[in-house]
Amino acid sequence: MKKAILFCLAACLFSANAGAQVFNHLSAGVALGTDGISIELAAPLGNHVDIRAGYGAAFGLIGVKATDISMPEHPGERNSASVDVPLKINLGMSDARLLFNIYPSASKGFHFTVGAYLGSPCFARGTLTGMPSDYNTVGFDVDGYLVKAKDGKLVTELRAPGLGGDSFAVKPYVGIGFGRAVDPDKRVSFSFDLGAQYQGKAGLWADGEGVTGRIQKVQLTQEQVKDVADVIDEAGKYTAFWPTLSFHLYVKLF
Amino acid sequence: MKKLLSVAAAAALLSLFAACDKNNDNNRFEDPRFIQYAGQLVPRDGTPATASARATKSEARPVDVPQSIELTESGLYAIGQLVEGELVYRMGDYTVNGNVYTLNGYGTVEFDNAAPGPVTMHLTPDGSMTTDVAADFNKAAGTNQLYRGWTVDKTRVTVQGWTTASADFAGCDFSEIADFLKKNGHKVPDDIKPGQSLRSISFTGTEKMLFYYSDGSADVSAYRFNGKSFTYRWDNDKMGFTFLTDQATVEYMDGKCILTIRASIQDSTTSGSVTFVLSPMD
Repeated sequence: MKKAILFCLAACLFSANAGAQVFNHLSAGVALGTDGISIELAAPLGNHVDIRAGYGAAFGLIGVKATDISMPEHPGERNSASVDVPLKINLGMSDARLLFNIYPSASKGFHFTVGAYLGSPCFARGTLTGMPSDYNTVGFDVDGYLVKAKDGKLVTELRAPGLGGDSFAVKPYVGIGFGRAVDPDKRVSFSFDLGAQYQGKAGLWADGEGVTGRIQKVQLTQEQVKDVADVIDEAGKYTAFWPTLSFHLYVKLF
Repeated sequence: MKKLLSVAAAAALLSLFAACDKNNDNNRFEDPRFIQYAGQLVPRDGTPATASARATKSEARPVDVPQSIELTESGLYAIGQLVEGELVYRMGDYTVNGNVYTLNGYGTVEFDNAAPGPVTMHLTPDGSMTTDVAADFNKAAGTNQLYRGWTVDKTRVTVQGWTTASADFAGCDFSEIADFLKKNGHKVPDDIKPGQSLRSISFTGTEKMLFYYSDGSADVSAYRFNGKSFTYRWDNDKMGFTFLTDQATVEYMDGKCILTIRASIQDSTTSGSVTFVLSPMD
């Protein structure tokens, strides 16, 4: 069924573009959105389709801070002094994008967009700061890898694979938009896109240290993050489809 | 073009093999320095055969004949002696000149080390007269790279309760670990001296495991090794009294030997393990 749909889509694209010129223009663009800051190149595949390829990242963007978190100074001694450990959450995407704008009209800007985001499964980072020194020594053991603070900081990541794997995510994207990535009549063009990436189920990950010092990303289980497991589960439901709103500025190079 | 592709493919394959070799070499160690001199001396019945007339000094005193002398592949020795009915080990390093072993901090022992079997060892502790003792020399079968001395780079203590928590410590400083546990609400023995640490762990080809501490003392156990895991039994009953299991595993990773001793804690639902990250002494 999937193959049949893809075949039909490809047939439509090719029939719509039959006889049209491809790659006869090239635009470079920058964008800002809920998928981070990105740069991209765009080229027409005929009058109805543009191909867009680029890279985007959102390290440190859109941060929220929770200041009402505290933990005992000594992890094994619940009655020891309570220490505030502010939690800062930021976006954390870093991925390549391959997208196709499909324009129903050869001259108007309205378009559908399909494609995928490819790269790191991480989409948000949470950093606990000011952790007491004991937490630099003790941590969760995840399959032989020890997750603990480093210099008083514990960095965790919300990661989702989409259709990919634990180390490389493939997140399909579908959306609509206005404006053309490559406008044959104008040197500068704007566009606006609204859609969603399918991320799949998110999990909480962190760097774990093997006994020999080897660092590896490991997923924390519900047991290990008992206190926040429900929150992560709830967040996972909402982030299965990542809303993507972005604004683009393109300059036609030729 | 074909040639170019072939060369590129060959280069890629070679680099792949080189990477594999490097990986294997990483976990393969040179033979230790004293592999041909290592072994175990066990006096027969623990009594001297004859007291020699060769006194080293006029004030020399009689020899306390050891229960055993372990001579490790990495040049460490452990002497077990009965002190007030309790087996106590002390360790140090040794050098060899022919059949004469100089045990630094103890004295010398001379015997025919060419082959295993019954020997007469001439035992001369520092400041004591030489004593000839009938003994059995068990020569180490030094074929396994585990049989050597290992220094402790890191200790990971893991406790399994409602979740699995671990703590990493550089080296193995008992007072540091004890302080950490104490701060975290655990009871620890109060006889741990400040700065007391585990200096090295040795495995011998005569199937003895030696824990060598910073104060020169040692704990010794006999073990049976099957290539990956082993069972052990401490010579001194006081060692390991809370450990209900007597099994440990060995693996090699990133040029290190990883020794994990698992334990169930007596009268407790929790279990735990201690993992030592070890580097070869030579």
